[in-house]
Amino acid sequence: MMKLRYWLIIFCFLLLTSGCASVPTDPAEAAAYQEANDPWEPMNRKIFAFNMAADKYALRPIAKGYRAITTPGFRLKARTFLNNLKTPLTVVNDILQFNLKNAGLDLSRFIINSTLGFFGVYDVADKMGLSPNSQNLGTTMAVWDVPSGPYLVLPLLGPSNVRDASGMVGDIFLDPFYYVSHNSDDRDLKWGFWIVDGVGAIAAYENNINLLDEGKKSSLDFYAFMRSMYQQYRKKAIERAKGTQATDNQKANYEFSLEEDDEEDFDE
Amino acid sequence: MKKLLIVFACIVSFAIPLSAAETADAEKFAQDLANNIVTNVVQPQMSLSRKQDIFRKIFMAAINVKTNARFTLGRYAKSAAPDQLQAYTDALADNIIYTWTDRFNSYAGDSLDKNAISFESARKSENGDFYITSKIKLPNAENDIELIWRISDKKGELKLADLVVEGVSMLMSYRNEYTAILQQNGGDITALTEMLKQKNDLLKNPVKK
Repeated sequence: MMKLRYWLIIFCFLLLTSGCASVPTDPAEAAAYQEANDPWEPMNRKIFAFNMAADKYALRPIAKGYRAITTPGFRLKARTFLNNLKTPLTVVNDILQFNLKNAGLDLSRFIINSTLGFFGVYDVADKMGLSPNSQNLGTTMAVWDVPSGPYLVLPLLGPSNVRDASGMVGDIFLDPFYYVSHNSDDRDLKWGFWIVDGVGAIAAYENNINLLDEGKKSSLDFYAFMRSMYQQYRKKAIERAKGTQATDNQKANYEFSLEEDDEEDFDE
Repeated sequence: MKKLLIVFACIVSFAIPLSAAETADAEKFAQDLANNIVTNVVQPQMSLSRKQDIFRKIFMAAINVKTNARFTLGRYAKSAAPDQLQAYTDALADNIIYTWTDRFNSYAGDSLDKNAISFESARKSENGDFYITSKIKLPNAENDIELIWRISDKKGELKLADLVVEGVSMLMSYRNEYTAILQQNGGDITALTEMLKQKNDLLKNPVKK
């Protein structure tokens, strides 16, 4: 419950302090503005700057420390283990997406990896042809055609949008592990859920540091670069969940026209 | 009506093979390009500047740089003067070449060879371009990386139009980022070009840590 209160406070703070960017009138500017879907850009940039400082002074030292004391092979096993603990949440979301086939496959993955894979340290199921899948409520809502809402940078958690951010909160309460952990009499297990989330965040961060560094190195505006990356990556995940990609006739998000996209995309 | 349809079908079936490349040609184009880059840029032991020169030759022959650069400016391309556009195009090409050579240089240590990349499927999109899907295997990673090669066909001449990594289009990323900059600086393409050139100087001779 503490976590929920925390989120509500953040949201109220965001709404109160959000300076909206004004909508441009120039057609080229308006097109760029619409593509970005970022009316709260002034506020988002401030949070992004805060995150960059947090990266430098807190997150990176922790992630680098973790990297220093572990081998790449160990870290892969750690991520596999942590991902396995999140698989029940994926199963719940598969069901909410009415994708019973994936729910069955992911449940099998969880059972196989938790037993044959030594509590999830080894992804045995992948070798058996059940490839990893990860679903969250943000994607589920997108499958239900809930619009993304404006782009949103979350403190410490980074790029998101209104739908995905609310999905993150919802996922806490959809995760079967949350109830197993909270209803346990064992004091250590009571905190298990939050510890797994915390360690998972560090492991994921460590795994993405190189990607972040490369982006920072080559981009002119790292904020805009990250925004584009996040939005495209999410579109792909949603297309994948909807099952509309590649071989279908449905256009994937990267199948845009290279010619002048005059009036067809953006009507003023 | 039926006759007319048959005649139309005949015309179409004769006309297509004469003018357009087949999906298999596009797939081969992507495979050859991948092989070329791995064998001549990623793997050889040589100086960074030598790698940059070799990659520049391969890259510039493979793409239609003008079309791509224009796309990354979005609607701002319309208001650009020809010499402005040319300067921007050159700076963008340099940026891509330096960025990617630097990455290839670091991949060399990750044992990226021809076997690490496998081509899975190819299809022609409604937009007329070919999308060739490949997977890259990296050591100590849960999943293979999906890399899609977008190949365009201009009257039988194949060009690399875009690369899509895990759903993220390179062209779209450049466009999103650069139009955001232009939106903030009042559409000044020359200023954007200057920013690119400064970045390129850093990328060309990276400081060793």
